[in-house]
Amino acid sequence: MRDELTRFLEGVRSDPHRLAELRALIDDPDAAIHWVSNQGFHLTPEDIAELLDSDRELSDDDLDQAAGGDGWPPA
Amino acid sequence: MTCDDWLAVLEPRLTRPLFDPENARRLRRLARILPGECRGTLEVRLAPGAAPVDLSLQIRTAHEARALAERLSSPIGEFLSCWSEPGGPLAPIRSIWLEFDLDREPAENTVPVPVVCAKLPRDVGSGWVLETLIPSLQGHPTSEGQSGVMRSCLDALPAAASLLYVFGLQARGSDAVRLEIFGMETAEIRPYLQSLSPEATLVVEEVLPLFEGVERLHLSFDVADTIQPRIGLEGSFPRQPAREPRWGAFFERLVQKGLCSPSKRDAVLAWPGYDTFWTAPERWPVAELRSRGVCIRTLSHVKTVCQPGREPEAKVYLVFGPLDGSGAGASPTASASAFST
Repeated sequence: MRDELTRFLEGVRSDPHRLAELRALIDDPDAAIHWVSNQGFHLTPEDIAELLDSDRELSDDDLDQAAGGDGWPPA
Repeated sequence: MTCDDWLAVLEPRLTRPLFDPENARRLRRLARILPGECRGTLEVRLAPGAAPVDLSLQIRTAHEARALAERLSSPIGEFLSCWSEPGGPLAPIRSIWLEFDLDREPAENTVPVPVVCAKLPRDVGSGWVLETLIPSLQGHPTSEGQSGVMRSCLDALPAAASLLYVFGLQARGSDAVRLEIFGMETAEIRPYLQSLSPEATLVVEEVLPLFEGVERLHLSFDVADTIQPRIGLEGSFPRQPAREPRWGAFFERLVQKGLCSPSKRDAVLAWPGYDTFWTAPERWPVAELRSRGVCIRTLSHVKTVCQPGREPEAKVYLVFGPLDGSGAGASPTASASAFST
């Protein structure tokens, strides 16, 4: 059984217009939940928090650090 | 979640000149039966034209090791299983790379036998390497001759250098062991090889100038009852190309030497970056991650391989997969708890 957020994401993932609308709202949980409900889905504030957290940007430092990872240099 | 879920995210980048359609198809077919929690590396040959792309996975946790051990025959399955035991004889190993050669079609639904590569801590003793690690990798006691040659190689290391990786090559039909040394400058490599194998020194002369100014050099060679004259030399920089112009200069030297096509150079330098659900919504593994996670792409290192009677070959190692702590992969904490060193 897929949860509501998964079903919602699968429903909007191929629609750039709706994704852009959602993305513009996710830092306002109440507005985002209202917009989502108009799409026929019922998300929680925790779901919106997950969406907001996933819309992250990595810095150059983040990427350099990830590149180093466990591979370089030796411990 | 499988490794192919990440390759699906990368799909628009799995194209020529680095990936021809047949090689991309093979990669994805294999990746469908490999776990998605691990970070992967794509080994791409840089000479002009299509060439196989090999896939490696980094195993960092006991859970990952046990899951793969069940699907691999001995001695590799047993090796992974032994490493997954906290406090066991292989506990000093920090992580394990499994390298899957894709020069032929992978079997359906069967994990092929990989080359196994153990990453070692800096202070590891040669006694443990020779008496515990290598027999475990090979699945049998090491011959006195092979062990003696390896001991000579380790005893001759310059003070700042250390053994970083040990490879078991049985997947390639060889009982040789590959030793990979970290911490030597280009000026130290020549006399070190000269002391072990003059033939090896000759083959590496041609590529040493390419690595002038390159950091984090690794020297690798295979040891059977003698040192085999196949020499690997690799290097990288701490920062990615966007902030490190020496990557571009390094690749330009490879192009000038005829070891890398200009179009592959450009594609490699454009590889680093990342994706999230928001940058790749239609390809994101929503069923497994919802919107969580980050899929990184980084440039790890360049390697040249030299053998007598053959032109040197250059390869690049492109990393992909889950960013630690992004909710999509292995937790470094889990790794540390299982394999604290």
